[in-house]
Amino acid sequence: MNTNYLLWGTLVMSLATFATRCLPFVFLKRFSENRHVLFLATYLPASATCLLVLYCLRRSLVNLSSHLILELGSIVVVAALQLWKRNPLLSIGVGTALYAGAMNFG
Amino acid sequence: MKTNSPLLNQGSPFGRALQHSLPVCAGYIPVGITFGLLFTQEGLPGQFAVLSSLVINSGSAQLLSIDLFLAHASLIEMGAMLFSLNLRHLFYGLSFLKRYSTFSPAGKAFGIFGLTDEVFSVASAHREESPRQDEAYCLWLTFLNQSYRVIGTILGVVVASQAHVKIKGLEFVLTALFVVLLVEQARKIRRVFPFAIALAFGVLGIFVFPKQMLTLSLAMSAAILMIISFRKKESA
Repeated sequence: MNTNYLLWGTLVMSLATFATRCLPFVFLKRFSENRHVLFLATYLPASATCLLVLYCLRRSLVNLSSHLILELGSIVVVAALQLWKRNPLLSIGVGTALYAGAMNFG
Repeated sequence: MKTNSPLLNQGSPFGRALQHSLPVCAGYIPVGITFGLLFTQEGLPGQFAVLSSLVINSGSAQLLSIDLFLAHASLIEMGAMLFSLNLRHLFYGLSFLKRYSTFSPAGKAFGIFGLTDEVFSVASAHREESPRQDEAYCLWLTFLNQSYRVIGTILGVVVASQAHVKIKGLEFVLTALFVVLLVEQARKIRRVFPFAIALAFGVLGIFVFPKQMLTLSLAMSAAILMIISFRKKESA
């Protein structure tokens, strides 16, 4: 892959992440506590996360491949574990092991 | 944590930061290893995985970056997606605004740069008595946490490039991570509309404009959220 692309991509993502962290420090309280900004900061990450789950499933959704069943099954396991134990490492670990296990030995 | 123990009181801010950072270490090392492994086994150069952990320093953002690179996503797409995903950090900054105000400029910059979910949750639970000590405590904590991530990443890259193994299905770790974040978001906000909006525009995007799905679906979702916000009564 093009080294320049990787370099610029990493830089842009670094700045985007830093921007979310320094927003209140740069624009001070008055702007950061604007109710529309707070509304977006509360709900946009939820929408973005939901979009990203769909993004991860996009190929299987379009092709309606048999992978989709495996993915949806593993997602249910991850979500159930997270609701029950609230331990991200455990939920992600078990879900990924299940999925990878099925991919390799199924 | 017993703060009245004489042993702990004699410790330095560094000692306390080290002690409080151990649970994060147990999490960041495996996360770093997975990231390094996945990055390398997908055929991306390992040194960029390490660079990523040095300059991005966000687990979800970095795992997502692998997928974005492989899909040849545009820089705008990368920036917009990461900004929206990490916008939850706004609240961390807001609650640490006062606490960081006494820091030296360089210390403040580093503290803001490294204000991850984990640093926030650990630092929120403990505060040193003097501002000087508190700065040392916060910055050591920030530094240690990032070090664990970088060490894990290097381990993952080395293992993947030495062993030449490709673990099929490891990429599911990204999906699993977003499902966990989704559950936590749902738990916290207890509203359906942000998810329903994203679901509608996401599915539309996948089938109608798959190439621009992330950017356009995100922009549409943000626009609807803004409309909802502006239509709400001032008192709400």
